[in-house]
Amino acid sequence: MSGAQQPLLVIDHLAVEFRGRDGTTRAVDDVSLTLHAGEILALVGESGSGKSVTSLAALRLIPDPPGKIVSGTIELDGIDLASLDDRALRRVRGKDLAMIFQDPMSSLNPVLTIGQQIGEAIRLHEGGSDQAVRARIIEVLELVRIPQADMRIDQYPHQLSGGMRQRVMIAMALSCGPRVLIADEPTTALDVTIQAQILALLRDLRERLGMAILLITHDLGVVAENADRVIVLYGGRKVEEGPVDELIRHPRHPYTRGLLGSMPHLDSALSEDAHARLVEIPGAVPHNAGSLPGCGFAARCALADDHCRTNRPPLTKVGADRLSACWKHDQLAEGSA
Amino acid sequence: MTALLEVTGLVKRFAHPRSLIDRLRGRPAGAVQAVSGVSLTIAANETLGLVGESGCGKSTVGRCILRLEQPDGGTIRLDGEDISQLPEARLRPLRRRLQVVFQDPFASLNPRRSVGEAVAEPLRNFTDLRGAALREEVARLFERVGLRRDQIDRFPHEFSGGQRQRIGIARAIGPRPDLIILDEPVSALDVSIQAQVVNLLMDLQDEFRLSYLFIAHDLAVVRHISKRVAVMYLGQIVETGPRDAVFARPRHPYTAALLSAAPILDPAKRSAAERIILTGDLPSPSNPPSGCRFHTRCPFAQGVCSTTVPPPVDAGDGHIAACHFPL
Repeated sequence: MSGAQQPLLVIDHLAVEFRGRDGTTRAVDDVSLTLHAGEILALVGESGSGKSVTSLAALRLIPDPPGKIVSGTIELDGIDLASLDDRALRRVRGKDLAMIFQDPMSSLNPVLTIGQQIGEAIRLHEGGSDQAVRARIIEVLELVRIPQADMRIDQYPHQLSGGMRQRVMIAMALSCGPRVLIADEPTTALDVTIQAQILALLRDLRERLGMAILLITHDLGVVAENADRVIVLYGGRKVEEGPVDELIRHPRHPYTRGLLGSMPHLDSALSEDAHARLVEIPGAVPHNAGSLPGCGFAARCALADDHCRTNRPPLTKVGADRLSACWKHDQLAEGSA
Repeated sequence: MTALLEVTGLVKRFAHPRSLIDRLRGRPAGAVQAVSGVSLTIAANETLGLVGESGCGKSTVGRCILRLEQPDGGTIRLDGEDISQLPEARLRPLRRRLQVVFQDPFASLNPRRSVGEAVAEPLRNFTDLRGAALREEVARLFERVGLRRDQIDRFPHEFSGGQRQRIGIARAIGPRPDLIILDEPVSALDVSIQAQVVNLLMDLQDEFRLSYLFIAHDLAVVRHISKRVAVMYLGQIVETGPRDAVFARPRHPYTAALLSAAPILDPAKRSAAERIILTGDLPSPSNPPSGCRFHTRCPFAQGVCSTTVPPPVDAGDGHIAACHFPL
């Protein structure tokens, strides 16, 4: 949808490490991504895949120590965020680049009204009279379709339902008109009927405001219905990337294929045999996947051989806008899905 | 067919704590009716899936059946005997027959005791196994759920979430129960681990002829594992029936909305389905709407829905919906 346009957010060869008692762990290893205006890019992976660390790094929010961005660049609109001092960085955060988190209750201050909390960012970045700020707060509350915004503005977080709180978080993120919104598991804590409302709202905001959204999730169903492109992370590394519909229909990495196979589907044919088995991915994510010499997924992969375990597969172009980091991606080509 | 478990008209209330001002003004304590007249049956070797959103009362139903909560009304019959009012002293044999696996394997294991001890405890309570024989049985249970026997002396923190859930399952099947209440057993697990645990549960059901009450909010998982399904909304069952009937032809608008809200992977199948997006939030269970409790959010509600409680109607083969205008 963006064509040859300049990308808004570019993360290039990012690596993040955390120091702990047992030595250094590489949480993100050589992850690159580009995000264009008006685009929804999904980062999908299980716990420990590095998806949240990648998004925190994009905002330069990795606590240092113990964490450290050991290599790579993050550019917003051509400006390298690493080159900015703290003051300049604060101007960018919230103004150009905003973030919403999974749990709205723990991200909202329980002793301030939602108006006070949304107003803080507006005052910091835009200023204006009290009346102007209040009008702007009501405007963003209406933008996220909170009914009776002029009454809600003076309420406290505990007076709102989970779905309403997440709308407040989105309103706060939108208050200064960011061009990039990073949404880290925005609906994981919500029920499905509320999840559907929030995701519809995010898509609608993308349309109306032309905002770019980096959607971080573990749920491939959410990815399938909401993202344009998707990057699959495993053990801190990018294993596959491509347009959503294609990637889901024809995964070109054994991990992506395994994930899709292990999910029970509501739309699959109802089998007569009530005890059909789900396809398992054996084992669990190794803790040091990001530091392994070979493929991080090899230990759980049915296709893996010695070459896979000792040589790291490069990201290879496997189609238009498609990348896969698998030595055996040919075996997963068309027709074998 | 006599049911293994038959719950009829189950009611459970929780009292609101009264604030100081309420007490000074002499206001009565309020109560939330978490479960309002739930009836369900589970046959031997059968899985009933109980679905609903947070706060609908599904976990409270499970806890009442286990007698971890004292029901305020209704009967709970196990093999025909009403266990809802049994005194604590007579619950012991019952506890062997009814076991439970909770959502959070981190919270349900004592961090200071080895996992082998956790699995041994119900065996010590309900069997004559002691000493080496007990240890051997624990080791066999470990192997049965996909763990190694040399892991029994380790502590919970040394295990991943999926492994801890396996330990919880080993503990539940140890005393050879008839029914296991599975309360969101896979929702805290990563997708690739979920499949392992779901497969294990289904294998164990065949092997030990277990009955399951599978409580979950994830419709796809419930559809996969259940033979019959019951859908709860605000403390009541709004629809129940054989799995395929409920999922393929939902009759209650709430079931239809839940199904249509769940994301669908395959783009080809997505456009075909008409999506019902519910407006608004779940009303407060302490002050549920009159008539049909779903009428405030129902896209098809009419006048009668706000005044009259819809009776459950059987469309045949046990597919029952409580709606004035079933789909």
